Amino acid sequence: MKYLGSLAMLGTLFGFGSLSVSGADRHYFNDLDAPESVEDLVNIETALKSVLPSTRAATVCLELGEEKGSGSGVIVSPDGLILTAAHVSGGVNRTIEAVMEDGTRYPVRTLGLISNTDAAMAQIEGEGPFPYVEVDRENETMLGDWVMALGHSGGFDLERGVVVRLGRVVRMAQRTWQTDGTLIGGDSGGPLFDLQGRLIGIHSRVGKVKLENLHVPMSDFVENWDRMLNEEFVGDGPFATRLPGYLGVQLEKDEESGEVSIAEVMADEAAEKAGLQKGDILLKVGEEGFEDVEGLQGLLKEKSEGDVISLTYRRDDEEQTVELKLGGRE
Amino acid sequence: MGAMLFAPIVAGQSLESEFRKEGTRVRAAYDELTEIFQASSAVVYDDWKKDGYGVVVSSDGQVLVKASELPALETLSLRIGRKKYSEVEVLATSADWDVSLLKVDAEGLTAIEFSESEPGHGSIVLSNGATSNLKRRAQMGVIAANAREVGEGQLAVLGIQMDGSVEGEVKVGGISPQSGAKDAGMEKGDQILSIEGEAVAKNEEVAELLRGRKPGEMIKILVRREAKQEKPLEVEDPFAHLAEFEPSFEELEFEVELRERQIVFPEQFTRNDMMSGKFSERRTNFPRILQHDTSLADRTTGGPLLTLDGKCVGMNIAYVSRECSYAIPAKELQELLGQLRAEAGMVPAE
Repeated sequence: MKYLGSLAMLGTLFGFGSLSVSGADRHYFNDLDAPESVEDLVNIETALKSVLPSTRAATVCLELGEEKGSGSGVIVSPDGLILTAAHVSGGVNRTIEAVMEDGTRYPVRTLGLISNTDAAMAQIEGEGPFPYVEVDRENETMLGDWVMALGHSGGFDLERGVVVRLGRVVRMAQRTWQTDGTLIGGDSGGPLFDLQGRLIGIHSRVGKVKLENLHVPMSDFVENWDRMLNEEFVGDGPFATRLPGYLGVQLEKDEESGEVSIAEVMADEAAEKAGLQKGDILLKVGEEGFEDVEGLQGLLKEKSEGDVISLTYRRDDEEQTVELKLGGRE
Repeated sequence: MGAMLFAPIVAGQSLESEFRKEGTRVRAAYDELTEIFQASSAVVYDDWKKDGYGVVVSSDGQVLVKASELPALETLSLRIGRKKYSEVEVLATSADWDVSLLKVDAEGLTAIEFSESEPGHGSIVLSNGATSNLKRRAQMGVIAANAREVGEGQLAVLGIQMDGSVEGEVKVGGISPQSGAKDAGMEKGDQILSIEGEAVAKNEEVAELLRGRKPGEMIKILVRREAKQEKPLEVEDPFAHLAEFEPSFEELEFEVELRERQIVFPEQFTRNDMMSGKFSERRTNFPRILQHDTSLADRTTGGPLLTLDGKCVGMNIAYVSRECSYAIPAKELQELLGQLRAEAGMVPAE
């Protein structure tokens, strides 16, 4: 069997060492070139049906706001951590909304993303426990494995529910897998599962041909897990682009002293999170000083969403320096 | 492991096409079930061209098909097994379900066997796939979502933009090229006098008369059209034609097919529609459907939907979008069959 041979080589290259081809809990039908009988298909069907209820419950529709459409995502922890696609979450620290299959809605805050592979994380802001799925951290999926794609195709539909599609993994490159279960707009960010119900990928994009459906493999999430959890914006696209950096304050200049101070602090933005207050006098960005409000804005304009800057300010005659991560503003 | 992941990208490992979901090797696994499509599905032909499928529901040649895609009777024929039948009678039609009951002169056919139970979310299902004259094929999918009614999504439209400039007249201001109105021969400037025999004087009255109707329905429209004047060959008095000019009108009756809004006004296509190729014209307003993920296409509907036990759980009625096809569930289909037979006078009406 040609492709199994080359896949073993792939395993070595990736450094998994002893890749167990027939692990104890691996479905036998995945090790057949193709199902050989109706009975094999019945077993595929039985496996799929047994993991469908729990995986459906953890699959959410992510609504991005007026006229921005929707995507999908999947909950991977009881406290509501979501994995989705970077082109769905769109950026770091944004507020979107998750819709559960039963129609319950929760606000969601986007965490970090990997903009060059289309991986992203987000967090439900609500009381758990939430239904969640297990992530395949061992990367045990192999070429030809039978898989199922779930998602809120075309947007949330209460009557219809989560949509499932059956397919096989038909191509594996390092950061992209292709399956022949058909996806459409609205599925982006949704989960790809093996037939043991483990999360193995996130839907990213489709080709013109119906059977060309591309996913970000879980290995990319696992490798970047902490960076995404720490709200990093990784890479320079193409799946997400950084907004101009945003501090979240209104500034004013004291006519007499010529100093720039904070007139207003916006709620939930970078400045407030860093503890800056109304009345703080801003002195330096990094090592650079500025003459006026425009000068400070000019320095900030060179920064993007997610960049960390150090800001020196004076409060009660005391100089302090704080590190803060800029937000983004459209 | 971390360092290995930064190694040059490994060329993609690819599964050969025969092993893919729609490949020959996977199809071979359910080959024994294609016999059911061979015996109990019909291929609909428009002249020599294959134009969809049907479900054989009696040994003497009753067949259910998708009504709105049925070719004209003169060019319609059915193939069941290897035999082609060109004498086809339409016994009855349901606009609600978009299903017609046909009859060909046959005997000894194998009627489809309906399932007692409805397949749940995730059940594997088989549909008619590409077919040759001699041999039916099947393709595989799964029940993809909850069974449900699909309603008022899109409206059935004539494809006319109204000209509201003259009070008390319903005038055609424009006609969409993909519309039934265009195909029927209506023109810009036509004044609509009546629809299905009901006089209309306001645009809202047209909308009211079309409400609740479905794509595929034929609507009788009476219009008043200015007759084309023949120009006089020579004009001696340059003002003579003004004096003579008195427009004459003719009344014309058209039979216009209602079509789905998105077919008629493609500028209203969604991105998902664009990704889906040619979908069924009638794909909304069904009282209840099963949704599955089989990659059907336009004019590959009408055939039976089978589960792996070989029983018929439905009839494919619409290719909706690239990931979604609809089937009428077996229970509703059997009730409908009873109604259509009653309408055709085949069994006493209850």
